[in-house]
Amino acid sequence: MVSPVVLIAASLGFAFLYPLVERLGERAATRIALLVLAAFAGTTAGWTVSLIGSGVALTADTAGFVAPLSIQLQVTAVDALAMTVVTLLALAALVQLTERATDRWHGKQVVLFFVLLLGSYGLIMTRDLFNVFVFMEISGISVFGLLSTSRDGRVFEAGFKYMVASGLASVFFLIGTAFVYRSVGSLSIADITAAAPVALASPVGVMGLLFLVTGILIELKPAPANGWAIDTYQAADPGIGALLSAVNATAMVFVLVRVMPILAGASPVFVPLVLIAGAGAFLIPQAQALLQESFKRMLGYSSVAQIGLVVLAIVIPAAGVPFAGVALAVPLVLLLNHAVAKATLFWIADATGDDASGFGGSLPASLRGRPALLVVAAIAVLALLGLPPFPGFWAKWSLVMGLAAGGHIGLLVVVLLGSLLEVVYLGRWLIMRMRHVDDDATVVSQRIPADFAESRADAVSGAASGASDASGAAAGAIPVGATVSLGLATLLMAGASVAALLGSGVGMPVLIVLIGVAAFAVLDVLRIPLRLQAIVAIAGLSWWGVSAVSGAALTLQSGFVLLFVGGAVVQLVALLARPGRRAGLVALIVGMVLSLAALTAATSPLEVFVAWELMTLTSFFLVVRGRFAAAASVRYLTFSLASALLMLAAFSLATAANPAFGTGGGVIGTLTTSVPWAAVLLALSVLIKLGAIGLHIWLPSSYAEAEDEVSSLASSVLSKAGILLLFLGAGSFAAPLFAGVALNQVLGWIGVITALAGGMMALFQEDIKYTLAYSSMSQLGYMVLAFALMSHLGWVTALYLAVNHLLFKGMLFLAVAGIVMRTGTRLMYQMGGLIKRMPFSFVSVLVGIIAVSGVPPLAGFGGKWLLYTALIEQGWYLQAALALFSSGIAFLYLFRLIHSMFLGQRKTHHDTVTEAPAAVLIPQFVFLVIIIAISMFPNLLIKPLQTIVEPAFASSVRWEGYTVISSLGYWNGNAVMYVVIGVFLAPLLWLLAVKGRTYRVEQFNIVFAAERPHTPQSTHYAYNFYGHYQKAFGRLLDPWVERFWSGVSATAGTVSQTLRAWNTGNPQTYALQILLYLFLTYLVARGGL
Amino acid sequence: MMTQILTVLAFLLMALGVWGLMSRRHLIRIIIGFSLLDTGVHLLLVAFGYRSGGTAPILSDGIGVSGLVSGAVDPIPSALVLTAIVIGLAVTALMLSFAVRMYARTRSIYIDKNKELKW
Amino acid sequence: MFKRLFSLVLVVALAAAFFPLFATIGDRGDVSPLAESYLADAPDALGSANLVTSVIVTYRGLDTLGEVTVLFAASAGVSLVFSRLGSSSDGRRPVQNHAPSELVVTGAGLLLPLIFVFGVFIFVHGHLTPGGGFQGGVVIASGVLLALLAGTLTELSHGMLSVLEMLSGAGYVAVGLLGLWLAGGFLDPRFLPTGEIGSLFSGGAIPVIYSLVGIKVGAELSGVIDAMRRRRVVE
Repeated sequence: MVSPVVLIAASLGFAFLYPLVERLGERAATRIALLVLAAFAGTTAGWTVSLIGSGVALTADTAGFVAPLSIQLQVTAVDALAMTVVTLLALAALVQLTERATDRWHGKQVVLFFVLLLGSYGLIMTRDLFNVFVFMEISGISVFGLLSTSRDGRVFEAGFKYMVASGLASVFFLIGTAFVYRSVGSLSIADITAAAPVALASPVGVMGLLFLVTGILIELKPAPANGWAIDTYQAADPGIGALLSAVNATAMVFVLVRVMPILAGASPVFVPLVLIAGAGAFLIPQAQALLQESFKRMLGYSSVAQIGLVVLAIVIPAAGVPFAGVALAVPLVLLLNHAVAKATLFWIADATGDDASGFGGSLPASLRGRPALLVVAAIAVLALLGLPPFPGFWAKWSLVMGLAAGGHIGLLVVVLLGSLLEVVYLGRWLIMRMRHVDDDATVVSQRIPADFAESRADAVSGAASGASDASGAAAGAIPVGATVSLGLATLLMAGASVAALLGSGVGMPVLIVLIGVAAFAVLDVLRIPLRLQAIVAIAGLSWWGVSAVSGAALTLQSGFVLLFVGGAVVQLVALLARPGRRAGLVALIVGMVLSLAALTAATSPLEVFVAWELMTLTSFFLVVRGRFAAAASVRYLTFSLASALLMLAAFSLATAANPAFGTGGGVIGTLTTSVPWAAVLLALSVLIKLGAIGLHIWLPSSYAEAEDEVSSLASSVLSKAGILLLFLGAGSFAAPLFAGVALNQVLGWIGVITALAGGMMALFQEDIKYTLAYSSMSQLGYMVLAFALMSHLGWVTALYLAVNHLLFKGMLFLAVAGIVMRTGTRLMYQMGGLIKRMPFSFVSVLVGIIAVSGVPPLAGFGGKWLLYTALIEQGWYLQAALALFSSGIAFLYLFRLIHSMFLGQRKTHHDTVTEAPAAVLIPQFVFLVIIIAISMFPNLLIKPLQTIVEPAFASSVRWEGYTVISSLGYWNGNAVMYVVIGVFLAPLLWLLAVKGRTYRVEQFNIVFAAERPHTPQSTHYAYNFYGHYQKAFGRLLDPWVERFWSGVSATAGTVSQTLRAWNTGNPQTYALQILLYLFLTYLVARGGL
Repeated sequence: MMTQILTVLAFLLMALGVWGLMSRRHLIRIIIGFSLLDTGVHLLLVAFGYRSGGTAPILSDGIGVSGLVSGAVDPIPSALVLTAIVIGLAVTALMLSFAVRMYARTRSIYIDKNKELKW
Repeated sequence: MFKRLFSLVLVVALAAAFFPLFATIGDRGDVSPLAESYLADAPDALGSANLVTSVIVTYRGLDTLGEVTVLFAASAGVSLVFSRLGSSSDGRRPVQNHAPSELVVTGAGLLLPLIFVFGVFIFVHGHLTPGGGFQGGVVIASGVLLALLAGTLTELSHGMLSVLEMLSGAGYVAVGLLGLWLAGGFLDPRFLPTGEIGSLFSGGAIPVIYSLVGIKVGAELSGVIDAMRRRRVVE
């Protein structure tokens, strides 16, 4: 193998000789430089391959003497892997920098680039304390020199600050080194580590180490002493930003890795000290990054935060399935994950020349017309956020498990809170990049256009969006260099993801999801039309679903597979109505269904969590496709990932208390924990996903602003994932929690209030999709209520409601999709009288709303009957009364729905609308047939549901034919159907008899006054249909929850502003902060001595 | 005693440098403060290599190898300090050139007029 | 004002906190075992009379190579920093406000040869006497500065500086690699005979390395001086 020292010599030699090489011409020289880098990459990769798993290290002493006489270089497998990634990133960076449109690097810049790389190699390889200092300075000085390449004149100011700070850090490091040498008499890190417990345990030794570690920490740019670094990130060329965070910071972390054993050996005070430093360095910048208007500055904050997380991970032993027991795996994976992802984001910033972050005045240009770039950006952001399938996900899981196992609850909170903040700002940027060009990212509730005339174009739903609307997106071609470097980074990330996936032990379900998505993505690339893709997806999913459940006994697991896959397959048929191509749609739907299926099959908390995250991600990308869905997606992503983080916290706490937690496999109560906090967090996590009152503000806009087919899938199928999780965690909620109150009682109240509130809000929506979205929220509330009963009948009811909701909400949303497709509006007052033009849709909606509202004879009635029976059986009378009341409200909004859309007078411009396409009608009628069937023969559904619930509760009802009998009464679906038909038939016949005597009002048989109303729609009868109830409800309708969350967001903003103000921009303040940092570490150390 | 004098001197030099760095507004003076700080560290390094009554670790006619072993000062800190000095020089040169560019941009050599980047 | 007060308090607090640390370091009669082994073995092993040089060039040769790199990077950085500025206006023309004084010109004529010879002497004898490549290089660069001030030199040849820099730098690395291939390791000077202690041709490749370092440092610092001199900035 090549000696490590040759790598140093080669990079230095090439740097020295580069002026000569450049005699061959600038282009040729940069090509040669790339070849040299490629050779380096080959060398380091060769080391990695031969060292990994061998347990030995590659060692090179210099000058013909052995350490400690001379300086020793060493490469372990971890080092080699890091160097390989660093080299590949450097290669990509050099391509990007030498092949971009403006400010191409050449001459001394390339020279300094190699010096920087050399410094990083040295930092990773050297095993001599003073040599570390030399390489630190080599890296630092080459960065300072390169800073001058920025076009931003402020870079010199930033660089000056950087120099002051890094100068102080060097001074600290040198003082520390001097004291260490004085105490130990050697500079070899191995010698010092061996001698530390004796020679450095004295107060003098500890003080010396304090200087040393502070110097290293400052070089890692820890908050709150890092304003200089942030300023540099903002003003520097983004190419430098990439180098700084991908190459330089990565190498610097290794210094801490080397020194950590010395510190730990010398005094127990250093581990908590580094933990505190890491926690601060992670959390503070995440908060400061909020509301940043400069994307580069935001990335700077994110970079220093990520390094803080790595610092934490260096000290915390990993736990959980992947990586546990592999030394340094977690910090290494986090570090490399960050390096690749952050470099990618900087390169995107450079390639697009767009520094807008998504906050403040201007939004970054939409990249919808650039799917490849968008995919790359999404990969980078998701990887940074630690989401599956990227390597950071597994590392973060192990880190969090390790934190909980070690009892570091405070740090756990810090990590999760910081992660959430990161989601907010990075997610927002990504969403702004993905948004439709027309979207100004403000739509979070229904929009009532100011005037009829403008309304039609404006109110077109997401239906029209897709790959076709590229116009007006980011202009300018992406330079060749950026394409190559982004491609290389993405390949690297993909390779690492697959490797981590295979090494994680739970990769199979994830792999299936990924393969599903990838397969359809390939179809997109091959420009296969949507219809064909949909057919393939229907066939594939049906086959897969059938093979998954056929032969299996009916359990919670197989039941939900049927629900998810069946529900999705039927609705996929609706896609056949759309000609042309819509990139990513089918792929994402398939991904979502497969991740839902993975959720049912999960047999460990990690698998549950992975599936949950994948489901969140795929559904997020589906939602964000909507034409005006940017603002809604911000909420969707934030709340969904908050839910995921809560789940992570719950799992980690539960696993820490009981290592066997959740290893049962997809049966009821698998995820049962006896840790009260874990149960509460789990419940909260699920409640967010179910849109429970107070946590629901993401739900209406996400469901409504998504594309129409996506809305129906999300509302009917996706929303059931939360219900599944309730059942999986069932046992956690029953035990008395605080003051004798069990969690399920709280859940019950939340459920019923959600049902009521959702219904009330649905009443006042003009936009039909918002009505249906609120209705979903309300229905999910019923399910939570029924589940919370923790009784046989309650659970059967919950599942019954879930199935029923899937059927009718799918129907309604698809019917609405058809209507929106034909009329081009979502506002109910702009419709009317469509019954004759769209009779099939009318039938579907009619059946749908009867099924929802719970009036006889359809299945909804059965659901309500079961619910009331179950509630009364448990003595929940008040809840029963409220549920009854909200059923009444449900009837009101549904009546409005059918009335405004189908009855009344038709708008003249709707005279020519035609019935919805067959493809949209077919799924509706499939659902309709099922609804009728289970209405007439309730045992068809209820008996299987009883089988599912059986493992937990013995049956409390019995059957006589089609009649179900509980302790309180009985329900015969068949008989009810006949009675109702009889009851309705009589008036219907009478109405038909008197039909001839009706007086038909003509369309314009209305007297207008001579004034033009401000809001013309207000004169329409269907506008503000239930305005009078608004007064009756009074303050109940105030947007309490919206107000609360805007308060939260405003508070976060204020906190962020306050924290940001700490970075005053004055070098002397920064120096002050660094000294203060030193003083604080001194105090911490003194406290611990 | 010699070592003690040197370390305390080094300490004072560093404190002086830090104070200059923190309290001066003029960029050049800040850089001078910085150099003082550096010099303090260099002095500290040299002091740590001192041995009572030590001589330079150079073989000459009067001193043989055994004389070195028993009487020469530690050569390692001397070597380290040379490296540190050169590095300090490099940093100072860059700082000065950045100061020139800052002045060229804002027409002010004062630190508080050169802080556009913040928050 | 508050900030300055706070800085003062902080500096005083830090001083108070760390003063004991510094004040407790007392004299010692011996040196570290590592230093002792250098003192005992290095003369025989390397044949260099100046043990500091042995440590710098050989035992901790990697540090020194790094040090050269730092200087090299700084010089490249300085020229980059000024290059943008230079190209934005008529920066190529040195600003000469007034002719150098008679004293400087005459003094330079007298001193320059001495300075250069002295510089060369210092780096060539680095293994024998106090001094070495860096010191010699700095002396040479100071000579260049004097020559520029006195007007003896009006324009430095960038091509020449860069060739010197390049050759000496690459030569240094090459000598290091020769050590790796011909002797015991990277930067091992013993692929040349170590010679007799105290003579000019002793210490193996140490004088070669120090000469290369001297040339490199001299060229780089001259380059830095030149880059800074060219711009009396008007942007």
